[in-house]
Amino acid sequence: MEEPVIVLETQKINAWFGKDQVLFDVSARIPKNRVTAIMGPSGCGKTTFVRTLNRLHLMTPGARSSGTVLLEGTDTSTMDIVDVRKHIGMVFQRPNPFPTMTVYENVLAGYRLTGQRLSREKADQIVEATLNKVGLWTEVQSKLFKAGTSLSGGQQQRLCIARTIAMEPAVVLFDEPTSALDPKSAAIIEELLSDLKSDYSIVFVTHGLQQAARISDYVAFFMLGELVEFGETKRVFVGPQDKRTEDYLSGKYG
Amino acid sequence: MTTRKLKNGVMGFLVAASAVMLITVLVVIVWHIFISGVKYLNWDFFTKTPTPMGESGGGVFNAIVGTFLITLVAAAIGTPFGMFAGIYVAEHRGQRFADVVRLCADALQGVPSIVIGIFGYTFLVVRFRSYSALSASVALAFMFVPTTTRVTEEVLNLVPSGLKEAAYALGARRSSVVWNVSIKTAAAGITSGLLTSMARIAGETAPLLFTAFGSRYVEWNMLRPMSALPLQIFVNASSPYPALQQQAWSAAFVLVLLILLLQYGAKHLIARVLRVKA
Amino acid sequence: MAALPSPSDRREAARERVFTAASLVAAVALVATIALFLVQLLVTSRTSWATFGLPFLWHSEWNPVTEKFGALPMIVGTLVTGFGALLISTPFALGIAIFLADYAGKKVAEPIKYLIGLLGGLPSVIFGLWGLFVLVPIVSKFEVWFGKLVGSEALVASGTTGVGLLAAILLLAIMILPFSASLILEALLVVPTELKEGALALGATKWDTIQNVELPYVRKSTVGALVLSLGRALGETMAVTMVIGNGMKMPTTLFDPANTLASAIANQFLEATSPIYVGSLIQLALILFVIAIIINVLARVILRRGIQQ
Repeated sequence: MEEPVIVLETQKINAWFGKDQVLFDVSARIPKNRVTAIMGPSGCGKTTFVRTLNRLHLMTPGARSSGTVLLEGTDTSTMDIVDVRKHIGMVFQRPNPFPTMTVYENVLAGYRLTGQRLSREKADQIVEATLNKVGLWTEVQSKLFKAGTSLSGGQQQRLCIARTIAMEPAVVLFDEPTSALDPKSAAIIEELLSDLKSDYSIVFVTHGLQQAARISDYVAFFMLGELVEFGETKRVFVGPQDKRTEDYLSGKYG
Repeated sequence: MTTRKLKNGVMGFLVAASAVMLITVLVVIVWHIFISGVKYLNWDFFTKTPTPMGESGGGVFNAIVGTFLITLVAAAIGTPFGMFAGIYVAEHRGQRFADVVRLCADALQGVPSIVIGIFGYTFLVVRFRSYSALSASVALAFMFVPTTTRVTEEVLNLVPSGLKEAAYALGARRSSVVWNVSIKTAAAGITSGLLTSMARIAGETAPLLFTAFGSRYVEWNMLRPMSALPLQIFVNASSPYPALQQQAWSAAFVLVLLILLLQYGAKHLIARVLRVKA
Repeated sequence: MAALPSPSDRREAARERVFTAASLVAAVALVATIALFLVQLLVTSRTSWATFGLPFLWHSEWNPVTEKFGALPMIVGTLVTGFGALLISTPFALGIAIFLADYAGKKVAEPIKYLIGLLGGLPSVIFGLWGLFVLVPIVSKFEVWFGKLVGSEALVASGTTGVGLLAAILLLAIMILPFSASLILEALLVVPTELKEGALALGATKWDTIQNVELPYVRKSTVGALVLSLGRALGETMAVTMVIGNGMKMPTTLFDPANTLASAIANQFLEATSPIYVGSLIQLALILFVIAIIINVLARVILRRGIQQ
């Protein structure tokens, strides 16, 4: 069993909302080019953890965090926050394409919002390549210049994914990407997550055991703000090392 | 049981009666303005300047030009201040200074127009030793800013936080998020607010009395005294000549048309443009 | 990993600095404006308060010829017209708001709301125009008739012109009506339907519900709306100026010509020659400024608490 290359490492992450501590000494090592699932019962801190990775957590008023996040060896607190987010992208639970932009413009939104100018050829190239990667190209080719919000829910979410990977991040974070979608669209997204790992490192939050089992290579089990267990999905599901993990897998917690 | 039913009937009747009375009065006023105003309207009215006192004929072209210029310049001055202040208050929601700013905007909104006029006079007219349209625009800008601030803040707060988070997650800086996402998403609401504020200041007289002062001639130079429709109405109405008084009515009609045009016409146009863009 | 800032990064960082500075400058400017107004008014009116001091507020003589100035006639005029207008318009404002919220169907309510909006947006000077040429003659007829009825020569005399406090009060009442009516209507529309339905289900009549459920619910908002309307009325300038008659003396009856703080300035400022005359008029502006700020802030505080309920 070879040691996986680590793309993202956290060392003793603690997080608070005001006086309430929600994460306790979370140290994790996210492998490169793999799909890592973050699972656990409601309120266990999975979303908060993921939001500390791209420093979105601190945007909530009253939020605090401590600990180190290393992106391919570099401490992200030494980086400009804008750079952190260029390398670590995020897709949200509810699809949120920008309503004032067309599908085309939405894909390139990251460039526009960070003031990076693109030539027409480069722009066209990126749009086609990214939409292809998320399997949308043929579907929306004729709708490129319609509003981003004119697509269906599942298509909108894939558009948001395209928007994120257009920036060529190293890591893409997903916060429960399928909970707001119908089962058919959810299945398409799940397949996409597996496809994407060849180019990116995927971390996704899920509230469903089955989803984690289905598509992830590695899984992190959180409970009450602690990282209880982390390892290869097959190993964890077949032979959990912590009793809490075992209980969760057998359905004891919601 | 019957007393309550009786009371219900009586109160219902009173409520309806007060509504009817009110509506009658409102309709009468609007109708009167319409009728009196239309009587004198002709092409000359729109294109000529006032004739010597007491003579009939002539028009209010100088006042129309003046209203356009003074209002547009006032809006041009007030919009950046109002929008940026609104952005500040929206972005720093919950902080003490932001509350102070909002309070000051509210306070400024309540300052009577005549006080604004006096301020414009002492601050600008006296300093530069001349009545000027520019001093009028500055005075009107003071009235334009508070409503713009409030509208900008309210509309920005309506932008869904999911959109803003998505923008931040892509690496955008705060100014980029505010400008490219929040303002753009709220553009229709903000523009509508701007136009409403413009309609309001276009009808103001008191701030112009001691700043623009009025003029018999068509004036394009903002540094000189200038006429404006509300001023013309006031002066004409206060004069003893029936011909001028009649002109006051017609000028009033033109002013109302202008305000309606700004408020409703322009709003529909903007909505159409923005929808086409999306 | 930590790359050197690219040209676009530098541009963005610069843009961020400018943007942040601009919003701060605008915010500070807004706050500074209020202070600036106060200071400016104080400084330019000093010829007046240096001479008359605090008693200016209660001296009742306003005489440009002898150059003796006192604000009392104007303060009285302002308060009488303001409160008078509020008194007259409030029942109607309530009536129309309740009518639109609870009685009128959509087909009736929409055009009425439109009409109210239209009238609310009408400039003051146009109200003044209508007031001067339509309302004042009617008021005059009434005043002369009333004076003859009670056998008072004085009343008939002051009634012949028609301009004066009564005309101003009536005109102001009409002007603040759309404003207060729409504010109260806004508040009434927020009342949850469940509350109203609950009362009706208990056997209450429509008016019972209005009186015991809706009105108490909107009490704070209504008070706030009324205070705001009062503020509007106190600051009204042009319409009042055109129908109040520019009376220099303290009015004794409602038929007398008078002045409010605002109308005195509008009527006399351009003719004021001596520094002390000008200073006194500016001092009136100062008094008006302070009153307006206090009332407006008070109203917003009440309204905000009303909405938070």
